[in-house]
Amino acid sequence: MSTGAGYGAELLRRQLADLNRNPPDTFSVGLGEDESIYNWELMIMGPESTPYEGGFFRANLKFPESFPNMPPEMIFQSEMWHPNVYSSGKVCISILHPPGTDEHNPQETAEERWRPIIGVEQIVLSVISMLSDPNDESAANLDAAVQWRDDRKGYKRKVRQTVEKSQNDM
Amino acid sequence: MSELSSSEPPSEPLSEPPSEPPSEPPSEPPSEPPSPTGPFVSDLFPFPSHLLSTQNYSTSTSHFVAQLNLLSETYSSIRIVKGDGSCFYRSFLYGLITILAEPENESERLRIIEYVQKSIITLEEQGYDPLIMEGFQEELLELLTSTIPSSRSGSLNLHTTLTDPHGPSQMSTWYCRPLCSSYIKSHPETFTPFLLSYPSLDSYCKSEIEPSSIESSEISIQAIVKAFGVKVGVEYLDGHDEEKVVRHVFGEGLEINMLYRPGHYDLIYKK
Repeated sequence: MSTGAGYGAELLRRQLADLNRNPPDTFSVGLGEDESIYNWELMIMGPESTPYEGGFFRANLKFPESFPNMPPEMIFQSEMWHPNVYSSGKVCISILHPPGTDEHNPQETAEERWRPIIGVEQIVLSVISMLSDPNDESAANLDAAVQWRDDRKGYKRKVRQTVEKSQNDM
Repeated sequence: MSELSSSEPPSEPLSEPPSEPPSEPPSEPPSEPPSPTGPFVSDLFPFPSHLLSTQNYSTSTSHFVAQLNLLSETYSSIRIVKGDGSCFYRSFLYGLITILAEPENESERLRIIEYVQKSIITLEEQGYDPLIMEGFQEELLELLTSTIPSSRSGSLNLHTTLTDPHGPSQMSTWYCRPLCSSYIKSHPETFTPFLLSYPSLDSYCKSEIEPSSIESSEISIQAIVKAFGVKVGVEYLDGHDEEKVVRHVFGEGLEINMLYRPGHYDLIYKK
């Protein structure tokens, strides 16, 4: 939906205004080129004391028309090497899984399910926390997960390359 | 409800662990759940003839028909509520808002508006982001304040508002869940003894109350009736006993009645 007429639109406008008024330390937000309230652009700073430190990672949050009943998708536009991010850039964490998909992933605790009252800031902070703390039990990028587990040095080297790339793209 | 077919629990229902709704599986699949894509709440249908004509109850293998006939001594109509995991909350909200529209309930309407206005404070104390909560709260306040005691044509408009998929009722229905959670978390002495298998009340609320696809439980029903200060009577259509329908009463105050078919709640109305 691009008209922004849904009940979720007002909720999103409110949060966007608040995030612009009180910018968080670790990310910034704005609307995408189409100016739709259902399509946000993010700039996420790689968390300190992780291989992602110093990176400026661009991502999109795409909210469905049925938001907040259904969660948004988060997709990294910058190159991202992480066990829980698909090669397409799509983030795979449990709070962004639509309701009723738990059976695909028994590891997921019910506590991490999507809930309509989860705010955008909470979503992004969960993704940033995921960068610091990968979950190799539900890998979206198998190669990255195996490397993270078995060859931490190689993993860090690969992540540092994406950090440099993100800095050059700024 | 006739005394023959009712069994009301003691006035302090949480004095012992809440019993599950009548437990053994019924002798046949009790009913087709209402479509998850239908209207939030249907028009008023005659009870029990509407259920008898839309469900394949077999008189030979179950007591559903006998139980419906018992209930027909008390109830005359039913609204079918969308079966999407929020049927209890939706029934509750529809029942509540329409009762508060009755002119004689004006003082209760004002009391509940005040409760909803102040609810943000409790939610914030319990760790909920007030900015987000207000987005939901305002929709519920809109429903409550537009509920001006009105004529019959007014109640038709109210039905339209309450069932408009793009209107305030969807957000209001979701708001019932954090209201429920914050009541539970602010009354740990009442609820903790029943939720010992969960790491915390917060964890229980996150996993069992706040996701929109999770059905209500006796815990959440207890919490919401107490939070709003109203009464919900539930008739358990379970097909177990042809001579009795179990009725549970939660809370005290203005009365909303529901029919529980295993896994689903609808609104029922007395004669």
